[in-house]
Amino acid sequence: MADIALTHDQHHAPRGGLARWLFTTNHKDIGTLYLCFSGLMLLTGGSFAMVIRAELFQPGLQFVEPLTYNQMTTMHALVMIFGAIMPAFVGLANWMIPMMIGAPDMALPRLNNWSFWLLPFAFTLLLSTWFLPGGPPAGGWTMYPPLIFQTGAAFPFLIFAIHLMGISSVMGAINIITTVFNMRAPGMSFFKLPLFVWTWIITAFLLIAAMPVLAGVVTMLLTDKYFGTSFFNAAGGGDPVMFQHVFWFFGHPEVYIMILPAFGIVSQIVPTFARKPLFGYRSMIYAVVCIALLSFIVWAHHMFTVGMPLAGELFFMYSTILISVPTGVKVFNWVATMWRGSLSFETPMLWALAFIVLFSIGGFSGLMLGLAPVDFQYQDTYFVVAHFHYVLVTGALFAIIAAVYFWLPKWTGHMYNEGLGKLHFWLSAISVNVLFFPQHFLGLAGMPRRIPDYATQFAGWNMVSSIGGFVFGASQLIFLYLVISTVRSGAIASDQVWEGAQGLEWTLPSPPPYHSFTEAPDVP
Amino acid sequence: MNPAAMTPSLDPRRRTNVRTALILAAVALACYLGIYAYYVLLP
Repeated sequence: MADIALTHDQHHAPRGGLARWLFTTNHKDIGTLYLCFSGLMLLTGGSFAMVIRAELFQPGLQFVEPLTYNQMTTMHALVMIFGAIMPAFVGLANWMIPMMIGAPDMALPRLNNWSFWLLPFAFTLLLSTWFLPGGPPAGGWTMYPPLIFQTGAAFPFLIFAIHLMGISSVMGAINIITTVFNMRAPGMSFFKLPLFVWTWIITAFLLIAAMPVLAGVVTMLLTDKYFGTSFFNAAGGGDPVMFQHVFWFFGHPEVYIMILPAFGIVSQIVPTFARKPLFGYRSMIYAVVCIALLSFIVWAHHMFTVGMPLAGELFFMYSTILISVPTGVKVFNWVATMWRGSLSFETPMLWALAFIVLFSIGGFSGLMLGLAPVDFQYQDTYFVVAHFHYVLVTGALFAIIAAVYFWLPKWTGHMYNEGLGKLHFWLSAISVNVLFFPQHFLGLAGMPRRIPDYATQFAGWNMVSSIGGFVFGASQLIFLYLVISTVRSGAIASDQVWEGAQGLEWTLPSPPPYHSFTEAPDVP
Repeated sequence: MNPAAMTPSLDPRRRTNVRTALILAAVALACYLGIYAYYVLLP
C-alpha cells in the first residue's frame, strides 16, 4: 500500500518547466494561473484607463481620435470585467475552496485546466482586434445594436471571444458547485462552510443562469449581422430594445457575480482581525441568497429612459430598492462583528475596511440611480461612471487585493512587507477617491459619459480626477513589486499566519502541500 | 495514506461528480436555449 501511495504521489508531483503550467490539473497551480492572468489583464485594462484619463485631463482632443477613445472605453470595460475581476475571483476560489472544505483538489481537475486555458485564447482574440482593419469594437461593452454593427472586421472576434469567456466561466462554475456539493470533508455541513465558499456557490449558480443568456444574445447579434436574421432589426420585424432587456437580464446578475465573492472575502477577513466569530453567520447567507434572487428581477433599472410602462418603471424601481435591505444586513453584520472586537489593522484589514466604507458609497449612489424619476437626470452621465467604479474598483478590486494580502503568506510561506503594504493601501485609498468622487459632481453637472471632449466648465474636476487616476495607477506598481518579492523571499509565515485566523485552510502548512488534504481532516 | 484520496481522478466520488456536472451543464444549456424560446414565444 505504501508503495502504491509513493508511486502515486510521485506521479502527481508537479512537472517541470512550462509543462507544469500547460497540463496542470492541480487546483493551486490553476489558481495561480488565474491570478497571474488577472494581474496581466489588470495592467492591460489599466493602461487603457490611463489613456482615457490622459485624454480627459484637459478639454479638447489631445492624444487620441474620438473613435480610438471609444475603443479604449469599450476594451477597458471588457478586459477589466471578463479578464481581470472575474478570473481573479475564480483564481481565489481555486486556491481556497478545496482547502476550506477539506478536499484534496477540485472535483473536475481536467475541466479546471480547460476552463483556464480558454481564457488566454479568448483575450488574444479580443486584443488582436487592435491590429484589424477598423480596430476594436467601439460601441461600449453593452454592445447595443444597431451601434455595435458599425464594428468592422473585429465583430466576429468580439462575439467569439465572449463565447469563449462564457464557456470558461460556466465550466468554472460547474466545477465549483460540484466540488462543494460532493467533496466536503466528513462533518463539513453546509452551515459550517466559510462565507467565502457560500458566496461562491451562489455566484456559481448566477454564472450558470446568466452567462448562457449573454451567449444567446450575442449569437443573435452575430446572425443578425451575417446570416440575415432580424432579432434586433426593426426593418425586419425585430426590436433593438429587446437586446437591451436580454443583455441586462444577464448584466445585472453579472454585477453580483463580481461582488458576491468580494462579500465572502470581507466576511473572512473582518472576523480574523476582530478576533471574533462573524456576527449573524446564517443571516449573511440568507442575505446573499436574497441578493442573488433579486438580481434577476431588477434588470430594467439600467434602461429606465428607453421607455416602458409606468407599472414597469415602478416594479423595477421598487425591486431595486429592495436589494438595499439584504445589503444593509451584510454591512450591519460586518460592523457588528467589529463591535467590541480586539481589532488590529494589518494590511488586509485596512483594505476590507475601505471596502465596507467605499462600497457603501457605491451602494448609496446605486440607490439614487435606482429611483426612476431621478435616474432621468443621471442617465448616461459621469454620475453613473462614478457609481459603478465605486462598486467595482473600491468594491470588487479592493476585496481582491485584500484577499491577496490575506492569503499570500499561506500560498507562499512568506510574509509580505507590511510597511509597503500599508503604503500601497494609503496611496490607493486616497487616490481612488480623488479619481472617482469628483465624477459624481461632473455627472450631476451634466457631463455625459463616453466622450473624448467636453465643455470647459467640466475642466477642473476632470483634471483632479485624472491626477487621482495617474496616482492610483502608479501605486498598483507597488502591489506588483510586493507580490513578486513575497513569492521570492520574506520572513517565514506560520501555519496559522494570523492570530485570529480560523478554518481548515489555516491548519495546513504554509505553503500548503501540492495535494491539500490527502486524508479527510477533522472538522471541529 | 489512502491513494484514492490523493486526486479526484481516482476518487470514488468521480461518478457522482460527473453526474452533478452534467446536470449543471444541462441547466446552462437550457438557459441558452431559453432565450431563443422566449423570443419565439413572444407575441
